[in-house]
Amino acid sequence: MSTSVMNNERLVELLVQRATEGLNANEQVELNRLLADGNYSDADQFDETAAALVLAGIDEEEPLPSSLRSQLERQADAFVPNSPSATVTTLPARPSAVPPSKLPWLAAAACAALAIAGWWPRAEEEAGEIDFLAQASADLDTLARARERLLAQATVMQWNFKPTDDPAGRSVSGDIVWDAESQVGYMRFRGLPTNNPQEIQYQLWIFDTTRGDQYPVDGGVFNIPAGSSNGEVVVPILAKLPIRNPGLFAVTIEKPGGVVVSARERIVALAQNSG
Amino acid sequence: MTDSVLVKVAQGDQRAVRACIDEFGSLVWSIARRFTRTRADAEDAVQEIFMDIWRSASRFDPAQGSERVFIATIARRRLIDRLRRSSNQGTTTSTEEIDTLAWADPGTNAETSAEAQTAARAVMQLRPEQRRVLELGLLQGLSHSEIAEALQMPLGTVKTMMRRGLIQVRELMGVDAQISDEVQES
Repeated sequence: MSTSVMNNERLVELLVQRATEGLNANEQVELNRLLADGNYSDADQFDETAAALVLAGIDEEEPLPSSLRSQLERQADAFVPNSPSATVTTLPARPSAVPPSKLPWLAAAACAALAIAGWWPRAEEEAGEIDFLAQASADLDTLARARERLLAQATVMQWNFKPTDDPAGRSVSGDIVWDAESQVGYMRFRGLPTNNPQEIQYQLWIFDTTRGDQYPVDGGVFNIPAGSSNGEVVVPILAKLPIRNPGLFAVTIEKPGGVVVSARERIVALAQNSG
Repeated sequence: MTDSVLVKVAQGDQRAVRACIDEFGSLVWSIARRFTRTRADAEDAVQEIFMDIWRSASRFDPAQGSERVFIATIARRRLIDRLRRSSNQGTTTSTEEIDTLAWADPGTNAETSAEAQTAARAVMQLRPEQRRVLELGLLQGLSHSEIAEALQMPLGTVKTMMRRGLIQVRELMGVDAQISDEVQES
């Protein structure tokens, strides 16, 4: 039976904030947890109202520039709709996408014994960014404690990160914990280099075996703050689509803000189910 | 057969993927231009938004709302994410730009969708200061803190006005839609 979000004041507060100015990492994790607790039919109501108001504020639509239209049409032609009969091809979002045959990811994927047919359109509509300032200022002890509490749950899984051949991934260790029931998880890293978020950011991708390997779920864009490279960093996972059966977690280096489709050039950490 | 281009994308119709650009390109571009600082930013954002639209098409339910609201919702989420990532969020907005962005009586403009007209009528019923908070947040993309600073209001008041304003608009839109249905039936 569905219930209304209006019965939960904190949930309303978070949903209004999502609809107006967005959420930071901790708020997004909290919202995910609250939404997972109930079957809400009206969770999108504030987003939809805000969208209708934005539509009302547009007097006259500006035509799409022709150069952008051409780019979008190329993008459209490369996109294969997700119908039951559709096959998935490699889907470059940018003309500069590196050919799959040259990519180190394929070797890593082969080691992972997974047949990845293509890479990685974002599988949902929301970019799961972990706000840098929020993350930097977040109490790492709190995240570490939250991770420990999660580990105590009977349903939690824990996989180790493996290093990769990428220069930034050679010294990576750590693990990933994920609780399928609450849809909450954390990554713990050692040896992942500090990044300048104006230049690059890390992005997590989650392969859910029930969704097909072509469509990994965006697990969030995040940073490793200065001064933490040699220590331990705990990062919350922001999977906005339900993850039913994770088979592989992969961390890539991307442009600031993350990408819709990864060029697969730099994979710095992998964690898979070895069982 | 549905005429919804999103439903067709969800059904695997390759032609509908391109048709989305024809149908919603100018809408997405117009929204993106409002929430980005440069033309290049807007172009990048539009490409991301269309990928999101195609990938999310299966979530669209014609019984629950219009395609335009669905598209605008996806576009806003992506643009809010980009705004949050921007270290200069809100700093380039001039007072003049803020003042020019406001809702007006929708009248009977055929270019405006039914939801937009309903929303515009609803928001015009709010108190002026409450409408101003929504204008700055939704049309200009200011954060709650920036609105508090611009209007010399406590942050908590801004948050409360934003929440109550959205709830009121939602309720008023519901009433408006109900009246429209009754008029059509009679």
